Amino acid sequence: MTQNRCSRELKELLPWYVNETLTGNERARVEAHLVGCEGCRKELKELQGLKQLVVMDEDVAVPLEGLLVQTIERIHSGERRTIAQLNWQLFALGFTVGVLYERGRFKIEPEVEALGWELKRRRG
Amino acid sequence: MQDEIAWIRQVVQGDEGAFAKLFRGYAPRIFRFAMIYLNDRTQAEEVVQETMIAVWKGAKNYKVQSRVSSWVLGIARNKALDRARARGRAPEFVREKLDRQASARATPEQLTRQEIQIDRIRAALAQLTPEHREVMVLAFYSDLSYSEIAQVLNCPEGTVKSRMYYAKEQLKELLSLRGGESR
Repeated sequence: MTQNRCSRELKELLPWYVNETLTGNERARVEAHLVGCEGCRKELKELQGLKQLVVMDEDVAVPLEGLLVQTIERIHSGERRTIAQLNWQLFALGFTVGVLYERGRFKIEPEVEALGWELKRRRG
Repeated sequence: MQDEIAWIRQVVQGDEGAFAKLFRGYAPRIFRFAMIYLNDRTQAEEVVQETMIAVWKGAKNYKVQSRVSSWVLGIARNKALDRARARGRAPEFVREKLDRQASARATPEQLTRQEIQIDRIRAALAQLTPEHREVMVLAFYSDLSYSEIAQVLNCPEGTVKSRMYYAKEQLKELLSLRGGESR
């Protein structure tokens, strides 16, 4: 009885009945309603026609393979850039530490320095 | 759906073959979606590339709770809106000039019945607001459910349903008006 009352809630489900994405329960409700509602059956036909037209209208060729190649190239060049940036940052850090150490502005902990001297002595 | 999730997992491992499958499935949908906001083929193609690069980089963050389509098209929408804003104009939908020129050049004798019908619907769709048009494209071209569209647009499901309802009513009105004019 309720299924045959033409509510806006049921009408609002029709587009998604057309694209077949309703849940099982929603689909069953819509189908039960459609049996007894000529207005909604007409609306359903209009929506099916509308969907076909939207697909036709929107179906524009996209240069898929060319775009794919370009995208993969951009991914690789981005990764290369990241690695190059990282290498450059490591080099810059190492260089700065080296310069500061040489100029005596960079103090190494005495224990670490002593360990360094000890290793040097053992190597002869 | 299961395939797509598997491809995303393979993309996390750096599998370019799986990425290519995702790309071929989504590029036309992203392109069409971006055209709603940008109306520029070159820019829409850029959005396709930027979106898919974001998919490559962000595959590890994909959450299985959301559908792949909602996730990918949500990224695409943000990229398209960013570009539209950067261009310094509010997102608006204007039909491709080429389409208009092509149909303007054709004489009525040259147009088949189907072409006339497509032209009518095209003109009517062009008059919808971007909010109405995006719901229509996502539902009828990309076949998304209302809950998926709500995720893409970041709005309540009720808003999606009501936008579709009004878009359809507006379209029906426009088409019946145009039909009346031509008679």
